[in-house]
Amino acid sequence: MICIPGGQTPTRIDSVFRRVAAPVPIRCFQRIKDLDEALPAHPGAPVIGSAAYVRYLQGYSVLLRGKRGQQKQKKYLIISGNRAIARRDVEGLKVGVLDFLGRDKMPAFVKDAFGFSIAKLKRVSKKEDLQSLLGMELVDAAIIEESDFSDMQSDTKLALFVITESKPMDTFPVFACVVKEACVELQKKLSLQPKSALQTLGIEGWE
Amino acid sequence: MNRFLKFFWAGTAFLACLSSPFGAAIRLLAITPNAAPFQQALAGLESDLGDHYTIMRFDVACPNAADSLHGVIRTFAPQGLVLMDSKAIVLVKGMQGGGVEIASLPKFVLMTLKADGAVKGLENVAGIKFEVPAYTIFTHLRIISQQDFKKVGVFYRQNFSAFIEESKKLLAKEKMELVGECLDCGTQGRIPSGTITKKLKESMAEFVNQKAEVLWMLADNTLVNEATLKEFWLTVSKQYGVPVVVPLPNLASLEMNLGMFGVWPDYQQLGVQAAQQVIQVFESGESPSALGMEPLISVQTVVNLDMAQKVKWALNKEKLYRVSSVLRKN
Repeated sequence: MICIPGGQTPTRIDSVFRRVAAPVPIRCFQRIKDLDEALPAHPGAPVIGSAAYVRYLQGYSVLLRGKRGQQKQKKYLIISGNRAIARRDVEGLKVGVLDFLGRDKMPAFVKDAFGFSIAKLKRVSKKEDLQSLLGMELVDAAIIEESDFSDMQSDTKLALFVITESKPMDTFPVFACVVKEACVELQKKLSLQPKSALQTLGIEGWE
Repeated sequence: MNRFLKFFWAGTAFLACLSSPFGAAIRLLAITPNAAPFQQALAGLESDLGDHYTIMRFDVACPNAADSLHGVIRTFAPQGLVLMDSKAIVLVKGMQGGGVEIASLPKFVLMTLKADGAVKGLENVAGIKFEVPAYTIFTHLRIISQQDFKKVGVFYRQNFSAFIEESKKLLAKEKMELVGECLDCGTQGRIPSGTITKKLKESMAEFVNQKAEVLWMLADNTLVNEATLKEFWLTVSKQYGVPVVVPLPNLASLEMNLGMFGVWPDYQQLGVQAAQQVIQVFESGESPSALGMEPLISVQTVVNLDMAQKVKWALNKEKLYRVSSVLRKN
């Protein structure tokens, strides 16, 4: 089961990892909710998903941790096109966020990352949607990965700026299993994948 | 898993279904056509709301819909209504003052660009207009394009004027100009059927004069039909070298050979977007009217690489992963 919300399409991930995982069948999801709903029907299925999501899965152990270069954690930014917004204002504003944990867990993640709660989170399933939210002024600010900021600036003429940044968070994809012994073969195959394949998961290597 | 009840009115048989399973969950009645896009939206809504909500579906096409709905509302006692498309709105409007309390119920409307007019007369309304905004379409196209573009042409009818004006304002934020040609504004909203293709061709010449770089096709059956497809749309890219952005995936297919880029609503995410309005009302205490009618956010996209090559539109290959579907021969 693979779910990397906001990254490459499930079709693209499937096309890369189907052959890697064979004969183990794989399923790829765009939304964390879909993975949540599929898991009970496949108890103990190996999972590739955000570390922040996997830590809520009961009985799972992480066998491989994704990284990008030497980076093992990600920072998040709260950005806006409205320069009048200050850090102290954000709690009461509408803020867009890519939903990679589901409705119940996103608020806790945001509080942990930034140190304050945001009551009006507007969740989306694609990174592009955050730009639409900002451009059409459906939110006052948006939470994005730090590494996406320069891309986002080049994709729009909106003058975006950073209001605040999070502490480093464990959100890179991980490979996790319930019965470690049953996943040894798959773990080996995954760890041998080239950077080009791993980039479809948003990482460059494992550790 | 939320308790989702497929409900098709069948006399009093529904009473048995309503007897006990609802518990303390918030009860929503979704009044909707049975068409696939609405069912996808409903699935997204149900999936996002989860166990805290019980959603009953009422099919607008059922016999004696008004009487049946009356009975359902009395028995099910919904705390909110989800109204999908105009028939549902008309049905509920017709029930106001008819013995069941409708006005005070929060209503979540999902429909196309005529939504603002359609909901007039209904109270406590929030919702989503699921016409894809120009802002979304052209910022998505810019993401995958190597070349920047500044001028977009669009044909429209008087009915779409407000949508076009809003689109102009939003695109201006992205330094894009929307050049609109209204085909019936000078004729009180009427176009004799035999003259549409002629008008499209005349207006196309104007777009060429104004150096429009992309042509935006609206989902309007009057301007896009069998005759205009054959006599105008299918020839545009070849004749003028201008890419067409289309509102349906089949219009950008390799077989059709018309659209370079297609954008249409992600219906499941439309349901998720609506679910967030429901949550804001029932869990954060916001009033539906304060939320108002939002534009649709999430879309599906397709790019036809063969067509891009034909019109010499340079695409950024590294960004193509952000398109839902990439088409090319072989």
